Amino acid sequence: MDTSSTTMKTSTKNNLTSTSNMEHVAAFDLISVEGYRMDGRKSDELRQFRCLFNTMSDADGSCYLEHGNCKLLAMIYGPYEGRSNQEQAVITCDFSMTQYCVSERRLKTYGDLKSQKIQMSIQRVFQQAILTETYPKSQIDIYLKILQSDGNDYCPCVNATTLALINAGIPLKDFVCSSTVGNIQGKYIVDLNQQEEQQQTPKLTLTIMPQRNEIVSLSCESRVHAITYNDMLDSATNACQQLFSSMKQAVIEQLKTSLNLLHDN
Amino acid sequence: MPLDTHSELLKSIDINEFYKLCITSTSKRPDSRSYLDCRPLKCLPNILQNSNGSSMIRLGNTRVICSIKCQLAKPSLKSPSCGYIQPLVLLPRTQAYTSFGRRTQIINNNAVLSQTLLDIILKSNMLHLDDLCIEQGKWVWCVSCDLFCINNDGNLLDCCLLAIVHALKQTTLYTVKIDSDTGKPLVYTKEKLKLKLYDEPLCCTMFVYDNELIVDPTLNEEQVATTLIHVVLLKNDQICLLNKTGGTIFPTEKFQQCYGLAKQYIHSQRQILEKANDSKTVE
Repeated sequence: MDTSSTTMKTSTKNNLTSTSNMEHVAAFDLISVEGYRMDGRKSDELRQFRCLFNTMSDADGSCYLEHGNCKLLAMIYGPYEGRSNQEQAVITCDFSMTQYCVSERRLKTYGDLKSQKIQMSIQRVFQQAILTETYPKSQIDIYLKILQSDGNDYCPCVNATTLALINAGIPLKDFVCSSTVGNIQGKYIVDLNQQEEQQQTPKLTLTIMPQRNEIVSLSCESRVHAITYNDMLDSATNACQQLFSSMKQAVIEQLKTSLNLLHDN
Repeated sequence: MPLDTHSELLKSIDINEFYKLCITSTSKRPDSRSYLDCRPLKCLPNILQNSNGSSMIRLGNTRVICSIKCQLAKPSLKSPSCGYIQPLVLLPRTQAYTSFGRRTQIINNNAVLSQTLLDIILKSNMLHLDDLCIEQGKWVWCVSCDLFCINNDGNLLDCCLLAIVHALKQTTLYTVKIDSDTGKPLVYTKEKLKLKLYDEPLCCTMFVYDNELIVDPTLNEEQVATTLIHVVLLKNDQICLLNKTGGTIFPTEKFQQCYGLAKQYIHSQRQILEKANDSKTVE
């Protein structure tokens, strides 16, 4: 998903000229002869994953997630008594970015089409994942704030929301993990960063529930040959499973510290 | 919100009464600080990659992220050799939803804070706008400081000013040369220059409760306080801004006491800030 069009528009309006020049890397440079990527990862290696819980004091559940260079905050408010009279909880999502999260300063931080798309898809994913029947006539709000963006915003958002929902103690069917996979030079590389994202190569975004082995959402917005498609799906599932284990680890760590059981083990 | 004990119940029913009880019975604040103690301060430099300089300030539970971005811009006709600086404070909309209620009020708060910060930056001469000029009348730097308040637990002005000063200290500008043929600017992203700072204004916020001066209010204390006093001091302890919001009247002697308190408080803050800066340069 590229943001260049919106930022171009705003910069001409304000007579501001950007100083950043993204170095364009040709696709054949992305993987070295030895099989390593630009940032030193192997093709099936994820970026560094780190998260902190309880970052916002006034939210019911919150999580700060660092996934490689992507940094974001997720907050959960609710469940509280909503206006709707439905038999299940209503989930709303509010996605916004900061002005400084991309290399060019952007003036519009929410409400553009790209963020609305992310907003809608996250809402749909978690309408499935949360046991909404347990909270009739109530509402759960998800707030997402990107502090630093690195290519795909959707995947870290889903992961952070899962962790924040767990932090808030809202019953979920399962963890929801999301990851991307790309096909460059015949190799399947997982967890693309911004440079890899910008290539005109096939990309696939997969969101699964890892313990039930169910696909929640899948999107592939490029031309892919049917033979390579299955392989891509496999490596994306593997990436999600890897992500799941580190997310689970983080949740368990958090639980241990909050129960003061750390020194027992 | 836990409502198990009597004091927590009282806090949610009547915050004024709760505060009064706490002050009179223990002569300490609810978070067991004495009147002149400030909360623990932590400064983290350079946390964001995409900006020219950034910082994060933690003062107790209050957290502010500041990011400085520099862009090329055309100067105004009035002052062709002056750059721009625009601070912009944003409280997240979630905070507007829960702790304040009114959205318009939050937008107002944002604007007031941004304007106060701009005034302080310009009045204190912490950076000369002439330094931001590249070619007179053609190209200048536009330095935009975006402040994002992650968690608001009172004393936002102190935090924002600390964050701006700390981030500006890290800020590097790119070298720009003007192409003599086409007149277009060429940006050399590899060659960086440090932004020159001439002064460091820091702020001290106090409030008056029962004729006592208390520094570093939390959000609850800001609700209780009858009047807030902001004192901004420069490096050589000169006063840059003094502001007492309306409210209770209090004698002149008390006001003179403010300066001494602010001096102490700002001195300790400055030491922490310098330590944070030094540790970065050693690495």
